[in-house]
Amino acid sequence: MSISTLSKPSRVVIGLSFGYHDSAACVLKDGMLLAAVQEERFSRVKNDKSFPRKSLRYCLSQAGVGLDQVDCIAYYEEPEKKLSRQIWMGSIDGADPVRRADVTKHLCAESPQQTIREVLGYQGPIEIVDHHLSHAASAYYFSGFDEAAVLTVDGVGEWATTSYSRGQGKDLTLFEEVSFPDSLGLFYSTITSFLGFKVNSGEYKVMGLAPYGKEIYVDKLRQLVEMGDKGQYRLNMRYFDFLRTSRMYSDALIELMGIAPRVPESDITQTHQDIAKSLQVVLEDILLQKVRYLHEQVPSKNLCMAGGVALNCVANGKILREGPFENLFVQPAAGDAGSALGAAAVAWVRRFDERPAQRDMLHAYLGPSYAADDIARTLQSTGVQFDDYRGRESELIQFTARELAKGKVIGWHQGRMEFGPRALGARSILADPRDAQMREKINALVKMREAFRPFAPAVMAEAAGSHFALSSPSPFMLQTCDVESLLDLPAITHVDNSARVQTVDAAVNPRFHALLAEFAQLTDCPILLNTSFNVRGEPVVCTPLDTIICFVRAKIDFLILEDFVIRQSDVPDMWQGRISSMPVVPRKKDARAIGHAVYTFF
Amino acid sequence: MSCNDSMKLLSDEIAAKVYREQQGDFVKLLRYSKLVNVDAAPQLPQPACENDGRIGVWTLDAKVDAFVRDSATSPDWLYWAQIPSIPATSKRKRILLLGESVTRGMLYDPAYTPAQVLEHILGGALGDGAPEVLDLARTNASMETVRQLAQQAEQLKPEVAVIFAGNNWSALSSYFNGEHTWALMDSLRREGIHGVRQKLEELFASDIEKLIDEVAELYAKRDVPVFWVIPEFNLKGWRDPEVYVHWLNSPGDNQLWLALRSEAEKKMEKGDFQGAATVCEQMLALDKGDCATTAYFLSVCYEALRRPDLQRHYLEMARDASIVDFTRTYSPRITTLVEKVLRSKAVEVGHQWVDLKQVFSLATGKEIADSEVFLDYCHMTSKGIRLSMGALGKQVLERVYNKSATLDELLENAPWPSDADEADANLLAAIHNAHWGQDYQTVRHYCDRAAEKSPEILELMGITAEIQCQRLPIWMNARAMDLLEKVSPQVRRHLFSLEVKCLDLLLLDAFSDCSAAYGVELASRLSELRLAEHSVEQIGKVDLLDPYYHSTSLSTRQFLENGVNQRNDFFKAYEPVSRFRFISQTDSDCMLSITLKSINTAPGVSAKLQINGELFAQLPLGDTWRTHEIRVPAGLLRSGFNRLEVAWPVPMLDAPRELDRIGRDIRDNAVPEIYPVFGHIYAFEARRANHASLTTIF
Repeated sequence: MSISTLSKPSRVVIGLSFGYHDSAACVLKDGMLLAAVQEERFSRVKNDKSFPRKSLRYCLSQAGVGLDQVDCIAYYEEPEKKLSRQIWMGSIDGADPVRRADVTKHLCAESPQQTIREVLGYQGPIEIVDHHLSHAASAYYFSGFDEAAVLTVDGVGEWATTSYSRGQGKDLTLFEEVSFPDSLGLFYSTITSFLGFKVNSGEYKVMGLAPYGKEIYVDKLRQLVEMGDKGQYRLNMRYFDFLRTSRMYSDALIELMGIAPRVPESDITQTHQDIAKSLQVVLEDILLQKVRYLHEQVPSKNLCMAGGVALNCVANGKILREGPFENLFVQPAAGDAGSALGAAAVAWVRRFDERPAQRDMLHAYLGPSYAADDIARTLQSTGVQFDDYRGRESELIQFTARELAKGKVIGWHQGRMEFGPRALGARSILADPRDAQMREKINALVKMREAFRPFAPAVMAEAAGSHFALSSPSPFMLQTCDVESLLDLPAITHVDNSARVQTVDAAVNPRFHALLAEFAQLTDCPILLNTSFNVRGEPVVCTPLDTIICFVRAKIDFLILEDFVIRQSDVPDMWQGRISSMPVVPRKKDARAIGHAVYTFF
Repeated sequence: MSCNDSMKLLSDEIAAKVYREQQGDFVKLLRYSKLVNVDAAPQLPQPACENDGRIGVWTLDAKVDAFVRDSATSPDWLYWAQIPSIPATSKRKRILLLGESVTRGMLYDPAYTPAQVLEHILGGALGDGAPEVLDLARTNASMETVRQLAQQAEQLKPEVAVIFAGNNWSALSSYFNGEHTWALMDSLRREGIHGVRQKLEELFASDIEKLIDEVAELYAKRDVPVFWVIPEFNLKGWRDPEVYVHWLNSPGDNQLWLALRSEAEKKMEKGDFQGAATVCEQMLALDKGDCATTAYFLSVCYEALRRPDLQRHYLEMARDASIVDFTRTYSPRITTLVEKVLRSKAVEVGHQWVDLKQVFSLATGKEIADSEVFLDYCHMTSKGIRLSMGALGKQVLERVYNKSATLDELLENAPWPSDADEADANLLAAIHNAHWGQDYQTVRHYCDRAAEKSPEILELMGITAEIQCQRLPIWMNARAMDLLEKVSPQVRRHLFSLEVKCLDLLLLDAFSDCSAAYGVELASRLSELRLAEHSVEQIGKVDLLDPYYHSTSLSTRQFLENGVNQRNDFFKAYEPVSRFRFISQTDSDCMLSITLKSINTAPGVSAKLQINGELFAQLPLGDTWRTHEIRVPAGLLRSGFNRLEVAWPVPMLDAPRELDRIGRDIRDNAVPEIYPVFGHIYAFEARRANHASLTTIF
């Protein structure tokens, strides 16, 4: 018999986000970020806000540590400050009656520390990290910069909606903030809601709609935000109703815009596109102004950005091109899930008085992977026809590239899952970007989403400059740029000639790079259309089973599942029948994710 | 500074007070006293009249003057009679049959149902003047469902109403909802868990009476006679999970109870049932009948002492004790309280009742009914269905049609199911019993009954074994799906929608043994499957806390949605020994890794790890998590299943502190955990030695 109690050679910090939307967990072990994942990927509930039980277990397993070896758990938000805001929202004149009634519940609610201790039976240290500081840290500490200015913009954390920070070595200091209800994120979300899209998920669609429009509503939309000194601004609350009702916008805004709010799922008109465009212009202008202010305060070459608004890659591209900073790093998981990383990093600094050893993020492949041999065994037991390319990677790549070149749509499940909202060649749907019909085909048949939504390209890093106006690598698809290719790329070129590019480095994702290279060999095009592997309403796939279900449901031509190929034509009828009757959102589970027409604050 | 700006300062101050000084509890007290208005939110408008063209899943189609199934409710259809439409009017008189899964004839439905049997019986007695039976029973129907349906079904203008329900009513955790918080806390303070139970039963009885009053008022409008069929429970053939007593009132009581339990067990093993009964009476004095274990022990003693009356009494006590166990999941059941209230209230409002306890006892000649009339805890065999509907039919004929007939005469017209349907029902019963933790003899009994009726059922047993051994969803099993079109609707529904994936050791062993009796070899195939799908050597790592591995019974599964222990993300040991299994091929060493902690024990204690019955390791415990890695040599392992047992040290049983905690749970509107816990396990895995971290596919 050999028994050992695990001694504690490593330093381990866990970061958690939960309670509002996009629960996630991450682990820093000896300063290295070993794993990070969103709970929604396990629960299959989009934007799942529940305690990230499975995410945490995955992180511990990946790090090879037990819960007893955790030095500290960091939580991404300051509960007392948030409670204050919740109380205020229920106490002000004309407060929304539902919100007012909810104040008592919040006063009685369990604190996140109590939740952590209760759920995990954990009695160790818990570090509470301010929400905006968590966001800022998620960008700065993983940027690769020794020093930087940091801008965080979101809907709201506790009170802060926009914050300005200075990062220097291990120190990250938030020196100014804009407070709720003045919020650029809520400004954008309000118009998103006016345009008939869901808040917290529809903003991205509005950004994609903008290039179709003309900026003829800019003057009107500028009335919604009053610029202030330094980093400040104020919302003209006359046009916003989120303090008083469950609706984001007021009647005054409807009057100002001169049209009725768009009914969700109804046709999108030119007017809606023009509003989207104008909104984007106004947002970009404000952000640029504030970025210039930030540069005055922190005259660095480097800018880091985080917070939900930092997912606006069009704005990011403009900031990089026209702003005073030379370098830009945006946390790939810029939303609340990513703030788990930031909380962990801040806790690391507080605890060990040093910056985490992981100083940059070369990739976002931080989620679970599945061994080829296990997948083989499973596929064999189902009796489904599949091709086995174990030990024959180059043949697999050649096969896949050929099919892509023939115009097939490929489901691509490889290696560790991405952390953050973007698919980056681990859980991706791939297609030929040169095919003019491809965008419509994938939107309508595969993703079942709005026709105007553009798709993004992945390109071999070394070839990016020949096809896109990129001045630096873009591994995370977080900035847009102009398409400057001699190739005709209708499937990934947006109506304004822009694209949201992922540059793929051979050292970072060798298999995906090899596929791009092979496709280039066949077609002279080192670019592929890359969209996330999911259908509308569901999170990106995680496990091989999720992948198979999505592959069948979306009627993708081929599935490349690690070393194995399944053809849609080989999918058994019973799989088709069963999967077609399965709800996209699991019926039993409590879909506690936010997905309605108002930005909820609790 | 604006008014709202100054409010920010005030909000900060309130938040600081609540958060830093933990004044949230104080706010809760204000809520309970209603000094803080918690329901100020605008009330949603009440739904439209209940009788607005809807009856359950059917909705009125005026064009055809019938209630047709609403496609918007199609996920719900399986819970109801498979009737596409119900004419709004009929020339025949109509008997409304409302109820629960027992009324559906669950496991026979839709091939053979109580409604069909009743209609035949009445048809036989009345000929052309016989009424039609409107089958509006719904599996999983609650009290509220019954209330709503009674209202809605008025649109069909039934001449007689039969309500065969009461099994699904005893889910009392809903009373921990804020409205009764203070009363429950007060009861706890006065009399501990027994006080809480009494209060819950008081509230529950009141709700039952309210239901009956509403039903009475409804049917009094048209003078519709009402018959209540009071279900019976399979007292003889059903066993609830073993329970170690909840927190008792006084310091030392829990320790005493455990010691008495041990003493009683020893006496029973020696055959000294009188002595054991005496000890159990002392246990009873402590737990006041709120712990099923004591009651079960007493029932065993009195069975041995040939006192069927007392045996019955204590079996009912054991059944009823589940009312206060909010930790585990229990099968539906009638309870003494429900029976009493139903009977007395029915008499009060002039309704009739049929008590199946009496019906079965008279018909079978047995004091306590058993698997002769039951498929499981409450669902009936075809014999049970015939007897219950015969008794009901007899009453309806006498009271409504002034016609008398003996039960035997009526049963001559009561159909039997086909052999195939009988076989299916018994196979499903075997599976159902196994999934509720019943013993091998019980499960095997239903397997044998199934095979007797139709040896073709053995193929289904083989398929079930495959389905359960694979971690895949059933729809990925080609052989299973081929069979899907050939099986009965009830098998398709229950078996092919199996969401309970588990190792099913006992069930599959019963299938193997039953198959072997018919010359069908299943055991070796099963063994191969298990090794291929689950052996540590094959898959690398097994999470022993995965509900697939740690439990078969629905009552005790943790880490499952709606399973035991929703609050914590760690395994809680509610028994002194926690049992796990893994499968090995014994060709190499294996590593066990366990993260565990003790509950309130003295320092320096250990948990004992046993492997296949041998003490293998002592695991030092503390009150914080500790991870132990244990290398198990191949020589200690067995090919196939290996048993792991973690024997916990006895915790310091601090009842007053725990009762305080229970009080806080109630105050926080949380369903309280009333049982001592012996230990916690956060992680427990078995893996190949030298195996790296691996994630399971599904």
